[in-house]
Amino acid sequence: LNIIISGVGGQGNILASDLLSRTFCEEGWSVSVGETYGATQRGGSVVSHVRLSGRHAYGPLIPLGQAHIIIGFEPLEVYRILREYGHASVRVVMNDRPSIRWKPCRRTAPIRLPWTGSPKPPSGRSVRRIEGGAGTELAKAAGNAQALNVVMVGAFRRPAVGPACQTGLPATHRRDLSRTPAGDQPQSF
Amino acid sequence: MTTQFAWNLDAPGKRCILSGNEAAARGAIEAGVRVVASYPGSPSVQILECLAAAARERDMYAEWSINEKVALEVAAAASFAGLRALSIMKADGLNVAMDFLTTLPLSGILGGLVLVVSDDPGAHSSVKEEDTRYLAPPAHVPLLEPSTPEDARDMLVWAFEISEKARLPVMVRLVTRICHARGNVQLKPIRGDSRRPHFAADPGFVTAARFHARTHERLESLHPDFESSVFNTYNGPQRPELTLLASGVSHCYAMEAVERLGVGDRVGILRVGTLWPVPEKPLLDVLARSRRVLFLEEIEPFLEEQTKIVAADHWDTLGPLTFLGKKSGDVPWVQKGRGMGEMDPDIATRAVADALGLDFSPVPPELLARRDALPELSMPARLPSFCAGCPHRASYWAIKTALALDGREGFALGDIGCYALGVMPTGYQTIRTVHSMGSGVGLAGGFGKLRQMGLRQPVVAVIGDSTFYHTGIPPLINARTTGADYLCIVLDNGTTAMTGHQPHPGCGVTAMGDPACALPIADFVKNLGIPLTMGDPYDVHRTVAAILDLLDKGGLQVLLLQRACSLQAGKAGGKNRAYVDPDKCRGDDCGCSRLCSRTFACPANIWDEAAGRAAIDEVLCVGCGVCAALCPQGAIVVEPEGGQDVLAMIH
Repeated sequence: LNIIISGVGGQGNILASDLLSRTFCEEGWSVSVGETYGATQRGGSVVSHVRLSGRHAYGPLIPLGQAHIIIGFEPLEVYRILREYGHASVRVVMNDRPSIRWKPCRRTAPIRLPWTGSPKPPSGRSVRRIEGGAGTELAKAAGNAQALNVVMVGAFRRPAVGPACQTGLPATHRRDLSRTPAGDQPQSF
Repeated sequence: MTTQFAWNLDAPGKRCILSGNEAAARGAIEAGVRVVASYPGSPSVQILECLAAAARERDMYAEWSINEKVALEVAAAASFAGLRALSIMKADGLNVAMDFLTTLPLSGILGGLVLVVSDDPGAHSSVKEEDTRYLAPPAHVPLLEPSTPEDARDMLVWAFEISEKARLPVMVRLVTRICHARGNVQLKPIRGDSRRPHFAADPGFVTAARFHARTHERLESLHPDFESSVFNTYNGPQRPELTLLASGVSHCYAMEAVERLGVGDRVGILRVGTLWPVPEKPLLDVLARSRRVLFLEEIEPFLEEQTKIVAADHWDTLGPLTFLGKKSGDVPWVQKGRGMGEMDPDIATRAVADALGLDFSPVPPELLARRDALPELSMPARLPSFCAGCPHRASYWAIKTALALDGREGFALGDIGCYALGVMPTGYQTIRTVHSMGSGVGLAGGFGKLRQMGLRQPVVAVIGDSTFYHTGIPPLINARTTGADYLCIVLDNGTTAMTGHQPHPGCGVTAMGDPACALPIADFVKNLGIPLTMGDPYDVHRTVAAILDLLDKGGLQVLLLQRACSLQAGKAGGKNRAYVDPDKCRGDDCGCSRLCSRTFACPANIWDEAAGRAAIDEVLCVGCGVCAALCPQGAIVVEPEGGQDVLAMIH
């Protein structure tokens, strides 16, 4: 099973992939995680590849077109990932708040998001289903916009696969998760 | 149940998720390492951080040294005194330590001495893709390369053993996709060691050319260990059509390629974990059974070349062979990240498919067609950017402005650190060179002597604080002696910011968190007798004036710009609140062309599309007030709100 977590530096993607991978490890899976952040610092693209296998550990990178689930912290980054790794049966859990930076020193036309406002898939054909929602707002409601990563992991629980269970999370994050609406009601997400 | 800090758990048999860096640290702990020294460099920074966190409990000593050469010397001293020691550095750092490393095998060592070097295929966080495997042979240092985080742990433990056995330092090459990958690691027992270090009269540790032969004998003595090592494994049919020779993380991709193509009955894989001295026997076994060999490795074709040497030595018994690799063009160089040396499962699978004459497309054609039908969005490039309120942004604004006002085509030279982003739009493309640590100052010393031949342009060198200590002082001494004419601007943010805020000699704290004497940069400069000017980069207008004044004066000058890294200052809490007065901001009628959000381009300066006015993202803004000083309408208001003098915090 190949999961891609994509977002922008500073959103907590790495901790989210850390939570998932530790949880799956506790459940007895072979887990490989590859992360790309390098010198992106805050505001650059950050991508985690999480690969699960019952047989043996795979390499840390997912081949093109082979993602099964995409957890997107930011819509444009989801689009970027879908273009390379999407296919007809990929499932997406997405936060709908865009993060757009202008290219410095240059006049740039505003970037129009074709699907902002309604959690509609960017392309019905490179994705099976998108669960979109106001993750940042839910995190703010839970007390801190920086809890977005835990909200996203919580949202991932239901529509995706079983083993990311609440008991697998470290105590501090479990507490966050129980405070987080999305953690308990992903269907309202 | 948390597995955080799992690298330090005394729980044999426990299965954890560790990053390659954590796994390497775990290997060192299991091997009973006592002294660890490093200089921070991505992607292997966390290894020393893990060990420093565990140091007190495990009776270890860990330090951030001033540079990689000193780090290796600190580790070697422990080895001479009989303890196991580890030094960690990125590829670029090995060049700094290379002078000392090449003398170590000649003197020999006593306690196991392991050198972890992290290469960065794809140059994700480096200026170049250096393949340090090539440096092992001239240094006479045995070389290992793991394929997974668990492997990294196992190899570290074994490296200490063979180092002691052969009395040679051992090098373990990690790559970004090991360091920054995570995988299952089953913990093994920790070898406790509390021996008292002692420097014995015998054996001596003198480096002399007469020991060259002894060094070669010691390397020879490792052949049986390398040739029977569990790190060199063959999997596949007895007589494969094609054999993949893979080292490092490429071994995972090799296995995946064979699985994806379903060619397990036609293709064998030899994973080479002990890279140098070349394990001849397993290589010859494979070459004798297979006519065609394909190499999968990261950055340069090192394994490919070494294998060809072995094949040439045995050409009469082996007969004709076909080698497919980067040299032959059968394994393509593909641009990934900012480089072209990184391997991935698709490059590997395609190379294997081509070698077997199979059709393979990583993305099925119908999916490619669909993808092409997707609307073309102008995706934001998300170039690396200085953080909101970064003092470097303000410094570069001032330098760029002053050089333009000066009007003599002055130029700035930089080097390695966050401030290397000065070559990018976020730093207004102010610096014109980025080479290696301290090179901006060294180059300025050269340019500064071209005056006598008629160079008229002002020369500015830009250097960060951690880099100043690392390699910035010798070129300043040099310039002071030679009378080179340039302005050196030190961007002092009080930390080694690029790699995650490690302390340096100016910080007054050690890697293990103990207080230490802080050595202010200003004292060094004053003691060298170089005229010193101090400033605050947030005070951008005064900084511009200071630079103009110093360029006017000429001669060797140092301008020390001090302001704490905005990430660290932000963590310390208390910040000014900045906001845009919508009545004063004239939007697109101003004529400033959105100076704050487009030109100055701090991430906290945003544009309110609905209002047609500038705005401040208060979540990101640290309240530095630089944009307020630049706004031509004075429309940005900064209110002190529990604000404190951040400058006082650094020194």
